[in-house]
Amino acid sequence: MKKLKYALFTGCTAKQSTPEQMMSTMAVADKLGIELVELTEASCCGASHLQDYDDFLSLVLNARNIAYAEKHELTMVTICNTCQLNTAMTKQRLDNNEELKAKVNEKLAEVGLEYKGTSAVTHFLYAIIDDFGLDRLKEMVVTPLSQFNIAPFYGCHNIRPSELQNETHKTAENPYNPTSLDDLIIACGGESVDYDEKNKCCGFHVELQAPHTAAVLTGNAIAGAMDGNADWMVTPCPLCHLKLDTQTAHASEAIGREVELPVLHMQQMLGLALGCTPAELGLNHHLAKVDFI
Amino acid sequence: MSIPIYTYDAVIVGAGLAGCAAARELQNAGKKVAVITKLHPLRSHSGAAQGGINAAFSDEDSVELHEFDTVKGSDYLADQDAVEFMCKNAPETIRWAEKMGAAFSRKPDGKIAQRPFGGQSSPRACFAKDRTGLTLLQTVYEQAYRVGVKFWDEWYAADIIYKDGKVSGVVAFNIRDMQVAIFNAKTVMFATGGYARAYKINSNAHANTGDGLSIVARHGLPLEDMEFVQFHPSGLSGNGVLISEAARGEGGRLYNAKGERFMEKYAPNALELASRDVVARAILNEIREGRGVGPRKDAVYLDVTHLGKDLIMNKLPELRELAMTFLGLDMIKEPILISATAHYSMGGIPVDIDGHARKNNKEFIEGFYAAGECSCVSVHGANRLGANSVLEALLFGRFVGKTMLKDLESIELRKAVQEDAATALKEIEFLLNNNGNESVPALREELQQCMTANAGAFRTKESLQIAVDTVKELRKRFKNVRLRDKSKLFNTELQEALEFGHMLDYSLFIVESAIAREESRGAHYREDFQNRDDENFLKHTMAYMDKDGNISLDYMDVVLGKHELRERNY
Amino acid sequence: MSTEHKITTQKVNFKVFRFNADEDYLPYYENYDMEVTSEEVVLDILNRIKWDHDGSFSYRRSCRHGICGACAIKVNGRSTLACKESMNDMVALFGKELVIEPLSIKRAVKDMVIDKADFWEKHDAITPYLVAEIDENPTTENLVSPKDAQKLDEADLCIQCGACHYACPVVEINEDFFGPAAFAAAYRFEADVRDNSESRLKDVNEERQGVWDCVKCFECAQVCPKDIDPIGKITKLHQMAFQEGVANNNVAVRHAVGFKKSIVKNGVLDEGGLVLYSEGPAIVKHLPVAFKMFTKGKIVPPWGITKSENLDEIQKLVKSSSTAKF
Repeated sequence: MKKLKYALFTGCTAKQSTPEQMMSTMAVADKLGIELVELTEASCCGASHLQDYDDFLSLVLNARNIAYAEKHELTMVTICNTCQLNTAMTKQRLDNNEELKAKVNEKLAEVGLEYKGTSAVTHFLYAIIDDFGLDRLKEMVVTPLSQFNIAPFYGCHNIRPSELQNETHKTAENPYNPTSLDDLIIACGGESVDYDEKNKCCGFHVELQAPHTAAVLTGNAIAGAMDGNADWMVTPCPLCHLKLDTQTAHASEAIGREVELPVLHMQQMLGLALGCTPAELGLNHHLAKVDFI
Repeated sequence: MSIPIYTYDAVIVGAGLAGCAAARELQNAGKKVAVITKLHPLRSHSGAAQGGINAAFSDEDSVELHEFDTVKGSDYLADQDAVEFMCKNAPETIRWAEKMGAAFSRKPDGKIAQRPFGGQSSPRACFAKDRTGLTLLQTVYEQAYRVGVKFWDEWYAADIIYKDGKVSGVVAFNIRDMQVAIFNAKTVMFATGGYARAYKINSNAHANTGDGLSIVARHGLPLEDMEFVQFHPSGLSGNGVLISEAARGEGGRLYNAKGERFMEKYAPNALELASRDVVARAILNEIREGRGVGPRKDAVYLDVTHLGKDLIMNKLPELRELAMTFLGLDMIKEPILISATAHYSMGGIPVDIDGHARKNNKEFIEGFYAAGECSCVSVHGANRLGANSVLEALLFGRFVGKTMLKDLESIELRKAVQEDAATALKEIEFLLNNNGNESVPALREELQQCMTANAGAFRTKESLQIAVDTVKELRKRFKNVRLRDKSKLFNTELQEALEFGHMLDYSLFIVESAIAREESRGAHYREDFQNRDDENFLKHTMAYMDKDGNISLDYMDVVLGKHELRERNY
Repeated sequence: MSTEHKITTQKVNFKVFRFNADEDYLPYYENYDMEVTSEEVVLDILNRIKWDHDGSFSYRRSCRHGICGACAIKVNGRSTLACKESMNDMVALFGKELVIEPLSIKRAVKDMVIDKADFWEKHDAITPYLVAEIDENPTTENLVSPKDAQKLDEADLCIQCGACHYACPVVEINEDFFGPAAFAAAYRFEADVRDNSESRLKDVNEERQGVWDCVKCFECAQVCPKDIDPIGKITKLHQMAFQEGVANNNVAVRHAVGFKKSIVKNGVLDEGGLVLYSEGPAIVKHLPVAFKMFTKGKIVPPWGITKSENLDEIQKLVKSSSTAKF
């Protein structure tokens, strides 16, 4: 089988507040034999906040990021749900609106770039499921996570709006009953926990302006996983991870109940199953206790 | 326990286009207005109108042509003074709705866009994609809300207070808790909508049970031209949900099982855009003669695939959704299955141009008005033209509001008393406590099946007699009804029973009026009398119900005018 | 000409929420097994429960073809307009065990009927009508170009069914929040070239009640039976606030603007810098968590940030492509 190769859009968080995500991504890619070409020229995607301020500017910047992936003639892989949403949404809008695409390209031409629409944009989770394959992954598992109940936390921007999201990957995801992350947990030998909050919002995007709303949502999510008897949680989104991992004190206060669980990035879970060491996966960078290893 | 009495200048029952338009007019002039509706106003069935609203304001069109098309469409039964009034005021009415916020589709020059519709000499239907009624309803409600109209939503109007030739209020109850109240008013307007729910296959909302008509009729007051029920050519196969005439207006074609464009036989010039009654009968005839399609062979094909994806998505997006939801068919890619569906009520509470309800051919009821589909002005005569219904509701609703405003100067309030609610209370108590063995859904099913089979688009003396007998029999059985729900909270079973009682009463008006009209005119088609008979039947039916529930018939002259009687061909 | 159109049936189990606030202390669920056909929609099932099984079963409904907005309920937790969802699609989404519940259990009055007062209050709060002088006897209409008419972006198709409102997680937590349907309605008028309201856009940009408290979860876009895309309208209301100069200088607004500042400087985000710019002196409240994050190597100082390569390109594009000011 041909070696898989992608252009990696790391997003900002992996390089700052979730360094463990960057480490585990590279470690897992190495184990799986996936080549990731980092798009070091990429800018921030705007995180849906720049979009509130200046829609056109955010389109131009995201188109520029994709244009670099196109230069490499590679599919762009994202490792953050919000990066995925904003990049895929830009792509969808430009690919379906020639006039808008021309306007954006007029700007990109100033710096010698062009958005063509030739590179797909997909989240690492779906790259593994669609391209690498879960069967192949299963065969490579050396440390099955069989003793763990693992609660998947999908994050909004990978599953909604499904009309957009399902265009970016082959595995059709039902936003009301998503299965991709459950399938990944099972492929790693773990037991996936079903709970109401698994496809709900973590509150990250209103952390600053509506801290109570954000804290209640985080608290509900962790509480749901705890009530589902989870040993730990796993998420494909570093922003969800930040909320679930670092905001447990506020969350506990907001819902009037002590909540805390170890929360792993999807790549960390994969890494554990594939035999990476805790140090390679940056498990020492968490605030919530990771005490199950 | 005493019943609260609320006092208003005007009480309006129904919050669709007609009710909201009248309410805004009155409130805007400083009157105290209450609108009673069994739904939330924005749920009213005006919002379901899809294709358009007529006004002759393009260069190629004229008010006179609009009049002519309306009168011809009506098979000459419309009152021409009313038609003239409507057509003359249509352009201003639509522009008024536009000024209030209606989101019409536009032409490149920014003016309101218009599309062709059946039976019309010129593209005359102003439209908002395929959701014209929705934007009009929203707009009129919003502006009525803006000026401060008080809406009593989810209240069920059960009776009017009628004594000595005068209406002085409405008895209603709150659907949420069954609290009964008397709405005492100087003027009362009914804008309660149509009655096609009496048919099994119909395009109407569940709410369109024609309550207003039989509430009036039970007081011995007349209903006009009740035999004229329009069957729309294009309801979705199986459930009758409407596919707007806009689909044909934009170029849709009809085919039978043999792949024939069969309208060539029935209306060689207008084809699919002939008048609704003509196209509906053509479809039913094709099915009857074995050329139907679909799993039940009860439909014909409506094909718009040749119009292309862009046009369909731009002008008919809602229709496409409907066919996808109910049939699983995508009209961009394939033809869909349609057949005739009971759609519109031409008959109703007789009123003059100003909306005054008639007590008989000569006298009017003091303080009582009607507008919209529940009324019979009559601008539609024996058959309504597409895109004239929302026009009628909006235009007459507004003008009747003006009439009431004027009349309020001279009408005295007759104070309501507790006994005014007696009839309504008795009816409710009977239904709640009666301990029989009949169920409303089963009886209703029988009524609807019977009406579709025997009083539908094709009628004979024999079939109508079956319908008369069935309705009478069902009435007896209804006395033996039993409800399971005895609670006072949101008792929708009780509401359905009340509504069914009304359906039974007005259905008898439909069939008794139809059996006596021994001719074919517009939507009323008698296979045993296939021609129009102007000598004997160029007249409106005026039907009355006595205390025992028997119907007696009288007739009223049609107001003729400059559009002379002609044979009707399309 | 032919259309392949077959009617199929399948057996489905319905678990139906039952509650009468006058009589029941707690809600309960009733089970119904039914053969459903491919022609049926969810409302047909509600009708069959009422008409064939239990007349006391209550729900709102009217038009039965997705335009009056009365019959929104939840199926397996998902807000659904009962008359517009075919049973085949429901089974494809959720399987043959379907849970039928009202839009909001805590607002349940009787079975599927809920008290929607909060929904209508929010709707009324956004000045839900065209603010314009009404010419009562016009001889011409306003001229609106097709392009301007297009700006409503289908917001005028909203039928006030409440599906998005009761799917919105913020509505459940923050009772001041207007909610996605009210925002879509606000957008419908703000986008209308004929509207002259001076307060509406400000009202929907106020903190706590306004668009800045939206968590961007896309639940509203996902459930909307009319594809109105409420969050798309929320985004546009944000943008309009800047375009029309009514954006308040508050933490939420600075948070949006801060991204641009960061991008100009680094290409990527300076996370700490963004929080500092957004919060100002209020940043002190974040210090305890920030300290813990620092000890775990999760905070990169400004000088440690790896800037985007070819940063000059980004800076040039920001300069040439910016369309908003604050």
